[in-house]
Amino acid sequence: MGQIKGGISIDSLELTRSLVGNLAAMRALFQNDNTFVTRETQSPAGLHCAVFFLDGMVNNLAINQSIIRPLVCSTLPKADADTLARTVIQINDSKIVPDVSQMLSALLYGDTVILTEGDARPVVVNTKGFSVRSATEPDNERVLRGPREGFTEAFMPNLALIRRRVNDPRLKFSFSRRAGRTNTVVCLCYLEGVAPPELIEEARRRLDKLSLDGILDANYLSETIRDGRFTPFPTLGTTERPDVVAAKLLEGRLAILVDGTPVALTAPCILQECVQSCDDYYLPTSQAGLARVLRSIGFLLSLAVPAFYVALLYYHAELFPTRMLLAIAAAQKGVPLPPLWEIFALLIVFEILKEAGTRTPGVIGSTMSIVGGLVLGQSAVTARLISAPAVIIVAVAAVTGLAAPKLQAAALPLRFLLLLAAAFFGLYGLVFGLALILLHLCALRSFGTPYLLNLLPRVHAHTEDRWWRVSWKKMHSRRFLARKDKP
Amino acid sequence: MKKFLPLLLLALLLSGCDADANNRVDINQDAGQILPVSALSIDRCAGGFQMTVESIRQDSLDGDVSPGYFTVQAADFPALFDRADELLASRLYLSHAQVILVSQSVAQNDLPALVDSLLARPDARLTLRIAVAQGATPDELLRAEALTEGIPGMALAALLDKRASDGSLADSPLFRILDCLCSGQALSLPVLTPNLDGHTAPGGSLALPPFTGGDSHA
Repeated sequence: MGQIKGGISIDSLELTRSLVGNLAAMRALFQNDNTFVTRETQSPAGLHCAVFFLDGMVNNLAINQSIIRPLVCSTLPKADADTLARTVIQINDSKIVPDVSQMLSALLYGDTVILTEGDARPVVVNTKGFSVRSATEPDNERVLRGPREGFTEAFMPNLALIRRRVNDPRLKFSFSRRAGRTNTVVCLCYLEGVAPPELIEEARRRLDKLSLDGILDANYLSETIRDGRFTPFPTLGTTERPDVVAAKLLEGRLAILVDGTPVALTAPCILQECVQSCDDYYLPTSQAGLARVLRSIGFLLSLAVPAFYVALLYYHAELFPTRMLLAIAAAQKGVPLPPLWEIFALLIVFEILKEAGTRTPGVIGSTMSIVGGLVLGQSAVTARLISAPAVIIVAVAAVTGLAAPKLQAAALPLRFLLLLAAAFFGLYGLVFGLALILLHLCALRSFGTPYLLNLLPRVHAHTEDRWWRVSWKKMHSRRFLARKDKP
Repeated sequence: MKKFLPLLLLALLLSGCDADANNRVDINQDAGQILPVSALSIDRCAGGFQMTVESIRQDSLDGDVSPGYFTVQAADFPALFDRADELLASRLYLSHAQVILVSQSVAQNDLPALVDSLLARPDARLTLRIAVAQGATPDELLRAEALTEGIPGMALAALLDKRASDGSLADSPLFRILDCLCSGQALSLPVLTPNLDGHTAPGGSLALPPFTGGDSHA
């Protein structure tokens, strides 16, 4: 807030009792900003005021009907800030904000500021009215059955979506403004009495240590406050679904919402969550449990299949059935690259295709996937640039990796590392690599919670929701992450 | 993590996974650089022993699997395998071999030496069966056309497997032969003979007396 505009420093802005002087100061501060609107009003009775707001950020109807009209039609010859807020302004949320920096923050965020002759204190009125998109279902968290709402970039409606699901007075939304330039609102959300106090304290402590000059997305926060800076595994949960946030709050976790982004962060995040889906809770137990197990297997396969193939081919060809070995050998005849580099190149090409598909608009993206994946792959095999088994192995790794989307980012580097370990040390290298990953996971923590919570025999919380989700009837009141429910 | 990492690295080094040059693998090799063998036949000859190797190959993914044969001679068994290795640009790979056909004289006189030389190869499996050829040389039986399989060696393996499971032929995998040799017990080997059409057929079992000096094979 130390920025200088039009020759007046924001920090040095001082409001006086003179409305004319205040008008000049505000206009100087927002010089060259065409969205800044000033409206002077003078009632027939003599009430002289000035209304300031930023065009595009406000609800014009509310300003016209509930601020301008009452000011213009007022029968008072003079009114101080208290009188304005109490008897003239006809909006539910209006308050006197003596602090100039707070007043400016509110103005910049869509509120309207009213100054009156003879009073230096501004009245701030909530007139936020910027356009928001509808709360549609997030594309990357679709469900077969269950709620279809998702967060949007609008902050307060996001909180309302959570509040609507958790109708409990102990649900707390604690706001703070972070990052000097963007002055972004960050909301710490938790269920008092359910979330451990030390967890809330830890989150506050980490948020207080933020030293960013701008926050434009939740990831700005996530990278700053997460545990395990170099781990590929997510140690903070992310979701765009209000029902997921509500569920995590009920489990004793906390959520962090950032204004301007539809992504909410949840903490602590454990590995178990990464193979969970909303459908696990909205579908029958047997179906959901099986799907969860399949996702876990999918993740392991996506990590290990290319490495396993290369290890067998180089070091343990005897483990292939005879006819399979012959088929692989036949497929590799005339192919210029050896299997390791073939798999390596294909994995990289796949990642590039995925990246290109993600960044390309919908219809072109799907066309490109077909051309890249099917046509190019088929042509490359026919032209003997790559072998069919290598394409199959990479396709299996790619498809199984999609089963656990939250672990895709982790799978990418680990897949390459395991591939190299297997190429140089065979199955021994693969097992060694997997052991290292397991050790890393054992050491990893998220906000003090073991990352393998609920997955290992001796590390579990009061929950029946582990590898397999038991029915809701049995899980009632025993599904909290950190402590037993205290209703 | 920090505690266990040095232990794991130590285990990696102590296990000697990279110490033996024979275990090192060229990461630029492909599956085509090994020659899978489906069966072997071994007989005596003037210069010592003669071995016929039945290898299997497939030229394309949608092509048929076909056998290939080549014969080598040497004074002893290790030299036989060495000679076979020398002939090939690719590596002779016994892991997929399932049958060794031997002549009666080899079975009666040279079985311990043959077992020793097989055990010296890291790629020979202990489930490899040894059968005795009668009525024709092992080489002829190995090359005889099979009724059910394109690869005669694989057909022989299936036949021996089936007959061993129903008890009509002696079951003779390498580990059982090794047991008998080490313990000085008598052992039986299945016998294969040509039938009227020239196909290989079961011909009973050949009982062999205990080999002397069995302890040396332990």
